Amino acid sequence: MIDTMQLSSRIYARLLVLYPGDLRRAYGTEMAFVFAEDIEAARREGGLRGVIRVWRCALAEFLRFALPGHASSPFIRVPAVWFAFSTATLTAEMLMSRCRWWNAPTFFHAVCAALLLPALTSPTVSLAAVWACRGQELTSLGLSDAPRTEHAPCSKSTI
Amino acid sequence: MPRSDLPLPPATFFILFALATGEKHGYAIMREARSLSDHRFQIGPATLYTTVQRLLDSGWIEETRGPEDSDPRRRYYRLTRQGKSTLHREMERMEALVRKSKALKLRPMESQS
Repeated sequence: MIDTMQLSSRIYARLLVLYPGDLRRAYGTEMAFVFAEDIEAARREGGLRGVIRVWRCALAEFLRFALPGHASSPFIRVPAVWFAFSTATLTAEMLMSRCRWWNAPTFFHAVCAALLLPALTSPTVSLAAVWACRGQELTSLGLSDAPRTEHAPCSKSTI
Repeated sequence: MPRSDLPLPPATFFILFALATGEKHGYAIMREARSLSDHRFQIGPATLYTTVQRLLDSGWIEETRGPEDSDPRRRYYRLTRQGKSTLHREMERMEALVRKSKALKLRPMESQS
């Protein structure tokens, strides 16, 4: 049975697939290894609070390093604009309704909800597709005991 | 490296500072940086290795073989002469700032006493 720390490390190793290629190829194995050591030490020293601290840092890095590379994709950008537009429309309608300026028919709410659903699902599907395409790299990012291989250095452009 | 590159970004400074006491692998750098900052500065793996790569490119640190009995999955790094010089200049810059703040009696401890 996999314990929570092992599961954390595996999730992190799989998230690495979404990081920029140069960084992942050069340091993916070390990053996964360092995260596993860090979260284990955090659990020993700080318990749940320590684990949360490590994950908070890792997720902040994920937003900073991994997501910008995918934001240029239309499969992410178009749904993001779509999501912002439909959320704004729905919020505006709710505010107007509360102020009794306009009482929208029920079907309007259904349309807004129908707009929101693909906007939420398409970035998820897109990221999942990237993940699946790079699936073969997971073996080199896992926490196996195999000796590390020589890595190509990162190019300056990604750093 | 020209003086205009100072002040160093926090991650760069703490990684150089952590390596000042000798060669270390990634996780040891991370722990040392946290300890040196009194647990106020947290470096994650992506920040660590992005900065390490930039420091390798700048020639401020270099990769070493590490101890004989080290885990083969680890990579060890140490400061180069250029890196030591940069760290030294950054420390001097900070000391100068502290001296100025003391002269102006801006430090809370100084002004209270």
